[in-house]
Amino acid sequence: MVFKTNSNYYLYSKKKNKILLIHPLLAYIIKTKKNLKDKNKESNTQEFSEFMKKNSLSRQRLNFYLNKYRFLKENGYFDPMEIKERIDGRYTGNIIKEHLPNNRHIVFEVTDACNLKCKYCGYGELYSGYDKRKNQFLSIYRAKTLLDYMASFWNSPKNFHFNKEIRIGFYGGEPLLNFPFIERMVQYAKRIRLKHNYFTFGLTTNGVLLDKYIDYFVDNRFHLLISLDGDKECNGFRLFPNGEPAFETIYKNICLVRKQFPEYYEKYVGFAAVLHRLNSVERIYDFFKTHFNKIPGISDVSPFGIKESTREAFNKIFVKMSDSFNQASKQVKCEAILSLIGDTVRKVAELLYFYSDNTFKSLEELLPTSRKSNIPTGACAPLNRKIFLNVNGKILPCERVSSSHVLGTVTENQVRINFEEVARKYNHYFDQLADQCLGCYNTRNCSNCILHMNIEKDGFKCPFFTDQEQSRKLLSETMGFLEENPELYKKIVREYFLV
Amino acid sequence: MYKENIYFTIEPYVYISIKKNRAFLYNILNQKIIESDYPSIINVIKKLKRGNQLQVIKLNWDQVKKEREVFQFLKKARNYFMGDLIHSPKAFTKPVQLIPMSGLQEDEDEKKRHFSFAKRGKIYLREITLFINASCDLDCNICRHAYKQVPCCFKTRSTPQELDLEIIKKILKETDTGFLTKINICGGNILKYKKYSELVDLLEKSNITKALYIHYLNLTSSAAGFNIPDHQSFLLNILVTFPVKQETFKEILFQLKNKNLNFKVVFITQTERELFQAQDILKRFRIDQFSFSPYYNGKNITFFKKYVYVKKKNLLRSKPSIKDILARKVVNHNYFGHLVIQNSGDVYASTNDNKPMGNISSDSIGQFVCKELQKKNRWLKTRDRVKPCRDCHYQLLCPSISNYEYAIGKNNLCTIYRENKHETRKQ
Repeated sequence: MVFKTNSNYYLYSKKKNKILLIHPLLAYIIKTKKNLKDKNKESNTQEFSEFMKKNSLSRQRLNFYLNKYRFLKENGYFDPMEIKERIDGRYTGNIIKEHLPNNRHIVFEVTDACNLKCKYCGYGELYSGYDKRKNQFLSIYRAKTLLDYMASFWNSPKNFHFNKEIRIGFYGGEPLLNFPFIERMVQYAKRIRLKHNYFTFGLTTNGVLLDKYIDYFVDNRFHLLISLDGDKECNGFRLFPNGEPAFETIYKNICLVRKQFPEYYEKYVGFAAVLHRLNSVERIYDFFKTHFNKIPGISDVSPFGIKESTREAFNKIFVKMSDSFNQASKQVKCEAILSLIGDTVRKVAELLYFYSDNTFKSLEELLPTSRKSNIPTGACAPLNRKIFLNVNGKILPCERVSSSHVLGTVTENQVRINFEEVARKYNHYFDQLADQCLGCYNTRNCSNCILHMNIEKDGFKCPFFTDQEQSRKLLSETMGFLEENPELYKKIVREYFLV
Repeated sequence: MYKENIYFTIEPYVYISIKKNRAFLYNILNQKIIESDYPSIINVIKKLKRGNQLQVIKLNWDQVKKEREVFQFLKKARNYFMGDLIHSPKAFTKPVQLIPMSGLQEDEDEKKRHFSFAKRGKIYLREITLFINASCDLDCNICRHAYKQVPCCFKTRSTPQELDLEIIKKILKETDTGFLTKINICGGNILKYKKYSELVDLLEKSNITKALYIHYLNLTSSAAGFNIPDHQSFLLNILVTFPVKQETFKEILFQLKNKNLNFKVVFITQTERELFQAQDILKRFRIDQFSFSPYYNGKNITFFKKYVYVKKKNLLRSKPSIKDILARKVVNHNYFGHLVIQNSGDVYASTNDNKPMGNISSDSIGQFVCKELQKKNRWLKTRDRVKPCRDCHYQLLCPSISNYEYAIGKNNLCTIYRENKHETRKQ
């Protein structure tokens, strides 16, 4: 496939999975797809002649690029790619069970209660698909049972890691409403002996109660992720249940942490901001840079699981990340780009990772026995990267999916996971999608989660299906961005990790 | 003044090396090479590799026209499909190439690299060689040293004489992660292993390749030699040393074929004469699965120079991929991911190591993997770290350092230096 940025032509070979810069004449030859058996006949065709004349190109030059076309063709650059083999992988119960010894992140939904009532909350009025919020606390026994269960896998010979971190995360609701749970679980985890790993702890909080417990988090080297959308005005959707803004309280607490524990703050405290109509990428960056000297992670309001009845309200809140990024000042864009943050940087990273077999992120990829996944879509392998235990004892793939995608349950003394059933469910989804994936130009770099799609719906069409034109456009935009920011290339290969 | 910018680019499928003010370009697709020590050409190539140029540079065409050598170089690069000239209006953005790059190869990333190694442990383990015992009734002349160069049997009086079956079970259990692709079973005479049948039963449960190494003369003395499942995951390597007892060999071959076993004949050769004899045997007995394992005995360097040393044309024709080239900068393909466990339980990264890393009874496989990665002893011994290869343009086209280099005592088992000298004289 030939594509063009604003300035230059490139060839993307699906078979080779490589992108080459090409001369406009070669691009023209490829596009016209002439029969190259008879060189003279071809070069004499009127179409070619006109093109040559229009661009003041010599016969000699034409012959050179015809030969180059043949050279690339002989070397497989125009061969079709057998896409089927890329998506015919399926799970078995055993494969899924083998994910457990190498799982590296357990997240507990400490409580479903919250001391804020944010307008865009994923468990709020805009969304469906989550368990009803009943102001419950997660049972400590269930959490301990899950941790014991996992420890037996982590300590098994099937764990192929050595000296690798396992993160125990605390999530809510607002987890600090059930602080004793956190304290007890940390104490419990510290008593578990791991052969191949060690525990670290993380907390996602709205920061309202941070001043009460910060000493504990500093002592236990907790990685804190504080949700805040920018200055007071930007933070207008983050409110107390009585409708009062929460900004002042949170701001004061963050300042306190920074002042009292500067080293801890530098190393362990991060921010997550949600983009919406009250803020912008520019304002978020500016606020965090000026006030906290940090670069926050920014995500847009989740478009998945919106109720039909609240679609309009959602649309009033939602702002597309790429739009806001494009409107940001050059300085902010540059800073974001150099910090490898933002949608476009991600697209470049995906381009380098999925569309270029010239870049290798890790040693595993360089080894002759390295394997590419042949599982369709970008869904995370279940139970592999993360396990989320919700307040009702349901095991979910992560905190961002509907509670209907339950993988297992945890009672006070037992973990129940039907691995075969999990495999069957995922394979069923893959089968439903396979035909669409076959025709999709994004199959190679699909990063979309099947659990965010309503696959069971009659006549389901993948919302991320990409045809040739869309793919060409995406490649053009992304390569164009890289042309403007060539310094990103090496930085991304060295430092960017796609999640 | 030109109305357009003229960019020169080198294609990503071209391997570029600059050493001691000499540049070397190799087109992986058509094996064409360009070499030059002309300063302006070196400057052009250095500029292409610099910082964020991504192998595309703007040319000063007036300057190019003045320097005939540079002009000829550009022409040659185009004709060999190694590069191109792209004319582009001044207002247009400079193009880029997605150049070959590994996030691991830069020197400044050393710390990061070790960090990631230490965290990944067993994921890198690909092959294990188990010397299950050390006794054999034969008295081959290669017995004491050949195993240090090629996979084959050996003999020692060290104790314990056998690797306990329980330890083998432990190893298999620990490595049952899907990353290990091959287990080599060597002796001694492995057929004399006390629990041989149980071992075969145990190995049968694993789907990975099991390569068994047995001297052909040991197959005659025991019926157990043929007690090997005909499953394709078992590969019986029949070791042949010289002189060959042809009638015995014929009988063994008949039985192997009769039992439909998956086998390969491995000739351990020390001389040209033995090589020719092996060829006669291949012809006479119509053997289609075979390999030659030359053995350096300290006196046969002429044989090695003729049959083992690498020549330029071999390297150029080997058509390594970009991935191969980048990998050779980071790991040693001959050793990486391979552990050797002796009959005593001692664990080594290579049969050439004098000191073991430890004993399998006290440490886990994951710990040995990490130890080796941190020591950078064998697995990471790449040609860019050793003399004289570090100054050679062919270092990344060349196979990784192997046991032969250790046995012979030099890193460059090649004729490249001689060929270069010869070419220079001709010029």
